Amino acid sequence: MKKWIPTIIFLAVAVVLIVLAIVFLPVSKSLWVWIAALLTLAIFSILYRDNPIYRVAEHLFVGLALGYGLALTWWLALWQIALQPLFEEGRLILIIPIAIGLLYFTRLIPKVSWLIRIPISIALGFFSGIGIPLIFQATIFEHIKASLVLPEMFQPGNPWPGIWAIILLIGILTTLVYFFFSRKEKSVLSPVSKVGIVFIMLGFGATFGLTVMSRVSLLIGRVQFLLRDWLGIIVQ
Amino acid sequence: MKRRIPLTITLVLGIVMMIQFFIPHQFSQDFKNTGLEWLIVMGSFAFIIGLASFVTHHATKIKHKKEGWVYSPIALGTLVVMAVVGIIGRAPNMNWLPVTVQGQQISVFTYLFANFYNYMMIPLGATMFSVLAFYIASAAYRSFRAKSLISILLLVAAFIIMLSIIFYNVLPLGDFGEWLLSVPNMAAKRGILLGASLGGIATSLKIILGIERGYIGGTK
Amino acid sequence: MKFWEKLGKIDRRIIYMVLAVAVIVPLILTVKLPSKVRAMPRTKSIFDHIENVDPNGERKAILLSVDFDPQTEPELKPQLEAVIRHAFARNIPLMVMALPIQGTDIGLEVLTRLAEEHNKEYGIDYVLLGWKPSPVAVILGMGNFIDQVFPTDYFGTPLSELPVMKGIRNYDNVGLVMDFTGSSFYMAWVVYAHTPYDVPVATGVTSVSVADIYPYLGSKQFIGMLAGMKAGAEYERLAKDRYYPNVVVKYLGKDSYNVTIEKQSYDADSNDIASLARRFDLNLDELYNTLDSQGKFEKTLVLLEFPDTTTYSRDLIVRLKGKRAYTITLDGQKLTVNKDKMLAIANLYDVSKLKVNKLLKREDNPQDPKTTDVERSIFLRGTQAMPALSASLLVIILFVILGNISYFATRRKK
Repeated sequence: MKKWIPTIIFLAVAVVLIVLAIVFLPVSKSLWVWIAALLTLAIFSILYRDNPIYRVAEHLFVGLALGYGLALTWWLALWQIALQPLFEEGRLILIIPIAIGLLYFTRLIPKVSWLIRIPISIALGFFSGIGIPLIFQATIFEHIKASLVLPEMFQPGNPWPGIWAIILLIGILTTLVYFFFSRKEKSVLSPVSKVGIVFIMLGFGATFGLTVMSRVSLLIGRVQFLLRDWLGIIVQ
Repeated sequence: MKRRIPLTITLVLGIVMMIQFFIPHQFSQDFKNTGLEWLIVMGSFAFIIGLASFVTHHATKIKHKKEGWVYSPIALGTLVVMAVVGIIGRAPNMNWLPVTVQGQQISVFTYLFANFYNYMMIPLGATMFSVLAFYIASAAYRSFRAKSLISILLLVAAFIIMLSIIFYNVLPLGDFGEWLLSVPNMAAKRGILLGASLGGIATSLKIILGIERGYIGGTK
Repeated sequence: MKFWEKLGKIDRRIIYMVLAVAVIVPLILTVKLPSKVRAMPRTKSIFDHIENVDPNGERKAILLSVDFDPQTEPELKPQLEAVIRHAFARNIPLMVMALPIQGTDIGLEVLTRLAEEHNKEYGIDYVLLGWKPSPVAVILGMGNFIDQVFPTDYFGTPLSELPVMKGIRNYDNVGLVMDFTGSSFYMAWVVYAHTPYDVPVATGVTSVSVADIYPYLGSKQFIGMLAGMKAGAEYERLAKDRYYPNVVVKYLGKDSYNVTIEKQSYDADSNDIASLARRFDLNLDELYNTLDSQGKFEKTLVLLEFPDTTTYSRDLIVRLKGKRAYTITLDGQKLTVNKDKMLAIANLYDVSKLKVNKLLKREDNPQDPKTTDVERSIFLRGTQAMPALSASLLVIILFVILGNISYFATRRKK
């Protein structure tokens, strides 16, 4: 019994707060907003401790997301680009990709389930092949080009772009050295990879700071919903 | 045979598509475009993989009464309801059981589908991620220790970025944050990008050549 | 030293509470920012690109891809809304699609809401393409023909039947592709759209990936980036300063409102007039004549009494006015729509919206003529969040510092 006391107090406080809100605040009169608000609070309840309300909400989300995907897949994909062109426009050639696509269903039939590898292998082969030259150009060639230090970066009076470009180049090279040669405990390049790690840590630190900001933004978005759309505390 | 056919398809298609890139001839372009169209058609069926594993996962949970199995019917039930409401509600020119919403007559299915999405799915999903804000605050208090030179560097960079956002109107600080992002950070990220891209291309080549064959593992 | 030990073992829920307070209090107090949000160059460059997306009156569309799902919606939706508002204000044909399936209806919801706000019509001003599987094939395929990938729109109407798609076949007719993503879809757009088809690409991302995008900004593969919630606020500000005059409405009692439109700092240019002509299928000379005869300040003032339904004419009038601020009084009873004066009539669309949204609410207290600041009502969802963001980041920094102090204090003792 004792372990339930905090839970009961918690729920009681929540109920009192909600009643006070209804009485004193311009709360939303939309049933849907209420549903959304209660589901939001249900997810937040995990912060207190794991509980059945949270688990129900979590499973609701998974079911909704997949059901939503299923409905849209049916209309936007299967119907609009496969079945409708085939049956209504008579594009018989589409029978081939549809037949190959149907092989995904062999996932459900253990005996012939290996056939699912055919559509997968087609997609893999096609996308790997088409991707290699493009990825090379977009993420390697363009970025090497953009990292070059050019003489016109050193304008008289404003040498800074050039200086930054040099630091950038040093950083890129040392980072690469760190990644490719850090396994060897002591090599000629280990002081270089130590410079690399300075850059990497500054980069990761920046990402970390931004990640904090990102998560907090998501929280603010939800609190905005609760305070404005539901409780009406923030005037629109 | 069960292995050779998929491996051959990948090898041939991979090489053909790589060569195709360098041939601007019309036939080569047509081949690519037909391929793209077909792949989208084929991709429409791929949802079955996710659906099958979801249903199997929850069905086994219920069958063996595993921990937390009571929630599985909720997930499965919601899936069915949402899918049915959506498939009926998103049908072209659907007008079954019309209701009046903001002066417009729409089917109750269309109405429910939109509202299930906007008032249930979005709040749930968005809140699930926003909970991470609390976890990161707690971790900030407990785990981020400036124990070594490296971790001090990391924390200092993070502080600079956060402070430059808090005081975004104080010029020198904001500009320093921007500099940190566009010089040292860019250097590290570009280095990582170059390394990762080389790795990615190598993996693609391995897939084409049949050295990397994880996708035909699993079922025999 | 016991104090520090205790501090180190503080319950996590107390930490949660402190963060919650840091978020809630600034939002409730609606703390006003000391000064305007300064737009970062990477934000401004997207804005400028959209400003000049159709040089010489060439018809170019903007393609927006809603590549995020509900999980990252709070951070990305303000960005998406700000960019859509900008495109609507400039009357650029707008196409919206999604690569991950869960983003599809976010696009629908935002478009429907904003189209109503801006009086845009589906199929004429914008289209929701929807979603198709295989992201790489979708991006590459649209470089050939958009209707090869999307034979119909979201609702099953063939694209060829939609006026908005007139003359828009593939990326050649797209002035900007912009994706909004909480994962790494931005890379797919660089690799498979920008690299082979040379279409300008920009991205709006959650703060998490901001640092990872910098290499692409440096290599100019992205023309710009919207970074997290703050960029939403920045873009809101840019679009508002350019297109939405600060309208302050005072309720004077009995269906009468005092509307002040604050000064604008820009003038009409040839691009705007050309795109206007396109919108109404007008002869350009004819249009210039109309402007000449109607562009006088006094006439406009009269015209402002007839709020109309086009966002266009509002822009126009405001631009013609240049740097003046003016005040008008609207009689709520006389708010009628005059379709014949479509072009010349000043759009007080926003003002009439205000009447519906805000002023009617004020009527319950007519003795107290309050000033409603529109800026807060419609536009600045992101801006509103900034004080809370600052406060909570500050709290987290304090957490790190306090945590370290207590850790080292306790350790030294041992």
